[in-house]
Amino acid sequence: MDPVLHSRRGVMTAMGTLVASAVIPRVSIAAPGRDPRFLFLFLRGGLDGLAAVAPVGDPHYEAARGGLDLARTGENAGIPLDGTFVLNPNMPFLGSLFRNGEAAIVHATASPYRERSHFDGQDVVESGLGGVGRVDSGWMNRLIGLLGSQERIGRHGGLAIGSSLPLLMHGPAPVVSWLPPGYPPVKEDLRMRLLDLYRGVDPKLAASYEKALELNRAVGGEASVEKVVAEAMKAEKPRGAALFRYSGLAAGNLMARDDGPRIATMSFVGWDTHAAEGPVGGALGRTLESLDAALEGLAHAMSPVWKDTVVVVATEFGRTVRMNGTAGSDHGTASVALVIGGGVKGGRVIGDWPGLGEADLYEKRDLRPTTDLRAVLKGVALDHLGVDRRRLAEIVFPDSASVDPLRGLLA
Amino acid sequence: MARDRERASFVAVRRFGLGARPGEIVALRDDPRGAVLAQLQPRAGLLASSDLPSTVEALRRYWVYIAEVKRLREAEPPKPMAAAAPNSPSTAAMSPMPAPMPASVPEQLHRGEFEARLDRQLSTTTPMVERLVNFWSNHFCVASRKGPMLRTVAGAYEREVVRPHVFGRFADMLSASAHHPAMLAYLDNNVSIGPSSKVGQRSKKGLNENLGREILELHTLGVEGGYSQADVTALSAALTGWGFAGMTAKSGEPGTFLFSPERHQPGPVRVLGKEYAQGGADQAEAIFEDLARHPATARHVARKLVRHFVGDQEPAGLVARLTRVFLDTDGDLRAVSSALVGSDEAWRAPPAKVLPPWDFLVATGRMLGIDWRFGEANRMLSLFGQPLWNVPFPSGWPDDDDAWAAPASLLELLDAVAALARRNAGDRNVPRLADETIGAFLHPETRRTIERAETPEIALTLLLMSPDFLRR
Repeated sequence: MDPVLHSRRGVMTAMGTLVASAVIPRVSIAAPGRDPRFLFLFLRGGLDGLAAVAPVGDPHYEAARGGLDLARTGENAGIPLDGTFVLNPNMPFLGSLFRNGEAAIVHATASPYRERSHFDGQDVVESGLGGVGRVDSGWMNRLIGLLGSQERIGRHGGLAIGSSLPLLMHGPAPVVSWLPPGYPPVKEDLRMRLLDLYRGVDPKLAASYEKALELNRAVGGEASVEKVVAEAMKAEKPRGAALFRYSGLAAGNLMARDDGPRIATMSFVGWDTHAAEGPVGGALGRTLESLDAALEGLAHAMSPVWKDTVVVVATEFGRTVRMNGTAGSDHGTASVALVIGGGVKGGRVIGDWPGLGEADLYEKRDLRPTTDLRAVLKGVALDHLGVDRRRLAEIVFPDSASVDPLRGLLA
Repeated sequence: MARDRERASFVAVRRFGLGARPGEIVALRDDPRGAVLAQLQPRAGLLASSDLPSTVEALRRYWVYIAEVKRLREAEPPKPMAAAAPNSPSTAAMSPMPAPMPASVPEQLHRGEFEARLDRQLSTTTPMVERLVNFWSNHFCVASRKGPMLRTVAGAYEREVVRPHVFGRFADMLSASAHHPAMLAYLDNNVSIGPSSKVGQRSKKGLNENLGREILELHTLGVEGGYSQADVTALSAALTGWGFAGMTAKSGEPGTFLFSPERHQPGPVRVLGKEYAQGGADQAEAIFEDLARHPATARHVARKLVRHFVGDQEPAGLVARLTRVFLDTDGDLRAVSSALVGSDEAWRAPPAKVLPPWDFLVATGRMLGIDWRFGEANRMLSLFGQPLWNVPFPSGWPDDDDAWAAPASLLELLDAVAALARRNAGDRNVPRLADETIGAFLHPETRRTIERAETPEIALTLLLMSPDFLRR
């Protein structure tokens, strides 16, 4: 690979790849006059929720987290949230959203999965089922199926762009996917020559290729990619953060369009911090900084529609409370989820805090879950997207009749 | 006649091959069909090297490695470098020095296996054999996303389960797959417990139907093969106790198949209307024998092969013929593969399948003499959505004609191909390269387009992106 493009893709894989998938149904179920947008951001690998949002006010915090704890004061102090919690200082943008009342944090949340395998844990979050089982569709796809049923699928419906769809989006409802470019774009002239060739020789390839060109224009074109990469190369911040910001920008540009997608998902990897976790100045600190940059890019691009936007950020499980022998943390249970957007009733850390005392921990090692992640997602689907409770419990999250939607997340 | 043979020689290297290497066409020209048929020799699929450890050895190294990692993690957490006062800003900033982690055995072994497979396919003179290896590896796929143990053994699994049986009996490949630790772990059979077994009664744990279901739905009868949920449960019950000896196993060599009677559901089971008496591992093995010669299995395999090699528009009669050969020969895969290669339809049908990313890498490597290395090849495969031995679902990679021509893939592929052409075009005569490798299938319009290109680099970019190169 050429050095430049190598580093573009190289940084992205080092920091975690990002795939956005999106559908473009016109949501018509929600209240008239509103045009809600919903994005689910999945952190694959198991986010250390206690390092992202630290319960510094818990009397057992320092003893339990020694070595992975955030400072309360000084230059590495967390961003104060309330009397108990501080936010990781690598996430200033999220901190500003929280202060503006546009970000709520649900702590001690977990999917119903209680083992510690990434594979199964991600499957449970993505399938929306009550546990590990046979999976052939994701809850987001089934949600889309409900939303799209009364309205035509937009112009881009049925488009599948990018490499592989996450399980979240698998299913019968039409889905578009899009992948941030990994190589320097070729010149427009060459693109058009290939289009001519396809038109002349292979109409099926021509149709697919034309869709790609169209979507590429919708994202903002390649000029912006080059600019972002050039900026990233000289940025003071880690280049990963600048590139993640680009991914957020591009996905946001797409979602903000009138004919853009209304329901989308992105995944980040890089959270599996078994060794040298470095919650502030180290590896996790940089990954959180990149996430913050992606959120900033997203919010920036979506500012015209921000009041109708909800972004949920979640992971498959949290990590052990105590630091392990390699200055990291192992697979655990509860973590945090973020609910962000212009219409969110934010500025709050939500959830019953289980505590970090020896007897409070789940299986004597993990943060004990007190809020089912499905309650958060059902709350958003109900209050933001207007899906009724019965269908949420039967179709989107089967086995969840006993899990009440978390209400009041939206202002 | 000469023209037909000319055309057939390109079918041989594309539909039944991995793309032409320079000179490959010339060697085939006299008898293309015979040349492909001659590749189908019993031991042709084997791949062995002293650098590639067996499953047992790979797992041994893996377990040593995870024990070491566990020891390090469970060690006393390292102390911060300076004893800082509580609440001082320096506690968080001064990350303690972690203990050095041992090199990752799963990654090392994965890389070795990846390179061995890629090297074989870039240089092989029996590409149809490798195509069949890829086909069956996908049919009985495992995925390293299940965890590091799968990543450790996925390559050995392919070499030990798929390659030896590519020209053997289907029943033997089925059985080898279900006995292998990779499949047993991938589809959770090692944690499946007969509810009435000794362990089941003690632990109140029960059946996991994952492997049982996929054997019926994916590996043998097919989704429309006429089985019921009761059949799934019955096969799963028969499979309880199938596992492998772990690192500290009391019996059995670690890393080998182990039948555990204490986990096996006692009693007879009924699958597809036939009763199988209570037994040990032989109970499920008897079911496998019957499944492997079931007409639905024959049809499922035949149809999948035809669609893979010929296209979604299955030539009428070809599937029926392969089904018949499968049944008549008790699932002799050499006979079935030979019938496919020997069929006129497969040589006549127009190119249909868009190359999957793996095949695209191999085909460009063979055409241009690119010696793909792990890092870049792996990155390309991940980018285009086909990381090796890492399918998202047990159903394997999608195989529709246009499955790999999704819009953004094409645009991204164009950018990637342009970068590749930049490094490999040199002063090549690209139209001649096209004649030598695509030949009779080169559309006049494609030829005109690359002739008109102002540089070899642009010509090569267009050639590699052309429908003529992308479809086989």
